[in-house]
Amino acid sequence: MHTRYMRTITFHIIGRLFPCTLVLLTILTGPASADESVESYLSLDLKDLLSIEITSVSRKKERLSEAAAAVFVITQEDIRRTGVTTIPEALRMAPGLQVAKLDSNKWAISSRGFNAQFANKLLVLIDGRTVYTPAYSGVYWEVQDTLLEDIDRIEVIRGPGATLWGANAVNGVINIITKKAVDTQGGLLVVGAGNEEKGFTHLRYGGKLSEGTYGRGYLKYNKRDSSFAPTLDRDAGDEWQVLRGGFRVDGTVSSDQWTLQGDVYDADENQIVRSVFRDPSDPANNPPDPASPYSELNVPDNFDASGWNLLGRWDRQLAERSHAMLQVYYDHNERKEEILGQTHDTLDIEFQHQFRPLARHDIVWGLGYRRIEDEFDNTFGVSLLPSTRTINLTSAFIQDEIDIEPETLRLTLGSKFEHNDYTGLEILPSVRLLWLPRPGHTLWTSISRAVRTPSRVERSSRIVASVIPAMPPAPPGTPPAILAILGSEDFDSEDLTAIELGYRVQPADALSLDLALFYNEYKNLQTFEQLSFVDFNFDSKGDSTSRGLELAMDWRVREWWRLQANYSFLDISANIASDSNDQFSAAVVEGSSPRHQFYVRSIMDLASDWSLDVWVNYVDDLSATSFSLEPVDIPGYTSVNLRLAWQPKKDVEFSLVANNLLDERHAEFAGENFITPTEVERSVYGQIRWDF
Amino acid sequence: MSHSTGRRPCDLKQYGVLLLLVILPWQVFAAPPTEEYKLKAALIYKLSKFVEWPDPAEAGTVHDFGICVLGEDFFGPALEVLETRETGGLPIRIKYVFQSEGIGTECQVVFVSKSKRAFIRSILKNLGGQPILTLGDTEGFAEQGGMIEFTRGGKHIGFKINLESAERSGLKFAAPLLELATIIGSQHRQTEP
Repeated sequence: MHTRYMRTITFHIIGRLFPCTLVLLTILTGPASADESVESYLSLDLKDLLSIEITSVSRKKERLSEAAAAVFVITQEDIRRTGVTTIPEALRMAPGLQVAKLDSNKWAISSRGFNAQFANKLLVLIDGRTVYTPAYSGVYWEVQDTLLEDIDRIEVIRGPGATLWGANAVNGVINIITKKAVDTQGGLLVVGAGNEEKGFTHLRYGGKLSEGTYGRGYLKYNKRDSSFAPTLDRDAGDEWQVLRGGFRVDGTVSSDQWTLQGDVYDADENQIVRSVFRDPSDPANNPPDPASPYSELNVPDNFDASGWNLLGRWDRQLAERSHAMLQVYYDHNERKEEILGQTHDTLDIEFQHQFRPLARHDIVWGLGYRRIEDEFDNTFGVSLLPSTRTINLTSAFIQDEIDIEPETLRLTLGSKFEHNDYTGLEILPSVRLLWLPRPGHTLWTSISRAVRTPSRVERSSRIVASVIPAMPPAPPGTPPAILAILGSEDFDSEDLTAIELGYRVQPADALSLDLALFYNEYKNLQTFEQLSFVDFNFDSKGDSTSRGLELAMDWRVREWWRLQANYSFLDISANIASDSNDQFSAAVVEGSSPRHQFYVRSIMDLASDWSLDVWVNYVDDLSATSFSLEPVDIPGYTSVNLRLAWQPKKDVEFSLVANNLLDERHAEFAGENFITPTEVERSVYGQIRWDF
Repeated sequence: MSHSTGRRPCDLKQYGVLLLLVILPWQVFAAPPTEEYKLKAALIYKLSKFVEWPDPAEAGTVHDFGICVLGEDFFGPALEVLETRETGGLPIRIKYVFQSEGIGTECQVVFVSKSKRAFIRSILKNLGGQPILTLGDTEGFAEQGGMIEFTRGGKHIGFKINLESAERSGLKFAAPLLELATIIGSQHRQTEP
């Protein structure tokens, strides 16, 4: 009960603190006025106006279209016009990603395969802050959020990005970038409700703090319904609510730009744990319940997940073509589940310098240091030893972009050198070649290496898989057998060599196509070796190859109608070493990601104030999604979704969003053994948006 | 730990705070423009001072000076600032249109948004011949027949003028404007008046 009081108190503190900050911010500063600067421009004559300097806003974005990598950008307009309410749901738009909902508050998301509840080969960044959990190198997606209306874009990079981003950027990088404070001035209020989205309120206010300094603050509350549990034949007891707030301030000091931003959140989540194992050596658990000895079934777990972060960034233009960036952030998060409690404190410092020493060379190099302090509240079921540890990560990288033939042929060479406490130095090189034979055509190819370094769980955990009571002919009083998976020094970095090829073409003004092909070779993938009847070890005896194709199309059919479609094909084959006795991993590697995926979206402006978006998503069947002993087969599904919006005035919008229209509910993924399998239900919500 | 206590009723107090925030008397305006578009808004006004429109066929039918944004609006409230001003003795009105079909006498200036990039040619064809000043900031806008194209040279904004298109629509550009612009699409050099 103690934790519940704590949670309520936290909720209230956040709830009070943030609105107060917002109000203060506003009263102190007053809203920035677009009028002021336009009026001041109007007082100048034409010649003077033309001599005014403005800083580029879209340079990075333009470069992306010329990137020698498989990049897909989800824009603010895409987010708004699909009415998605979470970052995971927005990611369904991107080709090459596997997005599956496990239950109301859990997602399994991966790039180019290897999807799992604890998927671990994807790097996710929000405004430069890494959000994966070092405990298992994966992401707790439900707490990775911000005000979706303030997101500028989400860059989805499939394939390795280790040379720039380091270990864990194995199969992809997701870069969530929020707008600058100057671009989110004024107020925004969004309220809505529906059958699954029980109710939400988003509020943001941005103002001008002083000349050249802009700020914004936001507050957001979401309450979501439970999904359906077919094994229980009732709701899955996974409803949740989350309160979140944050701010961002951007300023300029002469030619320097700085940013200070932070967020704080508190989520109140629920789940039903399928089985919680009880310690047989504890007298309180004896004698055991004969129906399920030493294992409590379907345990409702009301848990708390909270955190905060603070990030500062300083950009300096050193010379015409030389600029440096220093970024520091601190991130605290905690999560108290029935089976494990975990707290992480991360300090990260990064420095980057970009310059052009020679006419045709664009060099960027950087240094990084990260310190992660963890603390676990161990249980009989899951424990980590030692229960608290500090892990250090130091890195350096250098990359040279060479214009072999200016505007036509570009070679990018680079490598990251990263040192971690588990495996020491990792070298992550890549070579990329970009060719622009003529306007509208881009060809690129690359070869790169990436690794996924060991996580805390793989090195130092003990996870109970089963407790089996002694049976005759064992003499009475024989203790039960405890089957457990143990972290091990045998687990090494997972290793990838990737070869990629891409072609982007714009055959007509209104049509663009983007094709990416890849061939990946993995070594030292995670396996489970049985050491004795009861003990299993984390080991690295898996090899695998995967190949795939991703095709994205964007067609502006008419001025008022746009069609976007993408298709992803993926083929993975696992090859477990002959000296391994792992019976599970191969099936999961091969069966947890869809072979075919198809996505098509129609974006229509029906009239100047009405818009209709319809999108259809097909996901192929999955044959094994977890290491569960029961066979899990997830049939393929097609989901049809739509959003209808009416904007009677420039600053007011009403919208109605319906998801999964075809079926009452369907399964998308089954998580690991301990978690209740659920199905995603049909949902509808309405919302009002007001810009003020 | 019991399941039923997992649900907590909505805290009305939180909503109270939110409501309070909303009803505070803040200045009302919509999404913010970038500095670039604020500057472009001012430029549209300044440029219009150097352009002469032919007299309307039916005198007295035009009551205001319409500046229309075609496609996605990147100006936000920056353009609306102009509504306090006049051009050619008429009060400026800002209008937003989504398609070029149907644009008529209500627009004296049409700014073609970058979002219409793929349709510039057909839009300009639709508007061609009408006494409408076409403006845009898509690369190649003037080459494709737009009258004035805003360009970016490093950190500055410049503009290109397609004189041929202007002449065909009966619009006249004053000399100071031409001096500051890059002129394209004219067979003969403009003679100084």
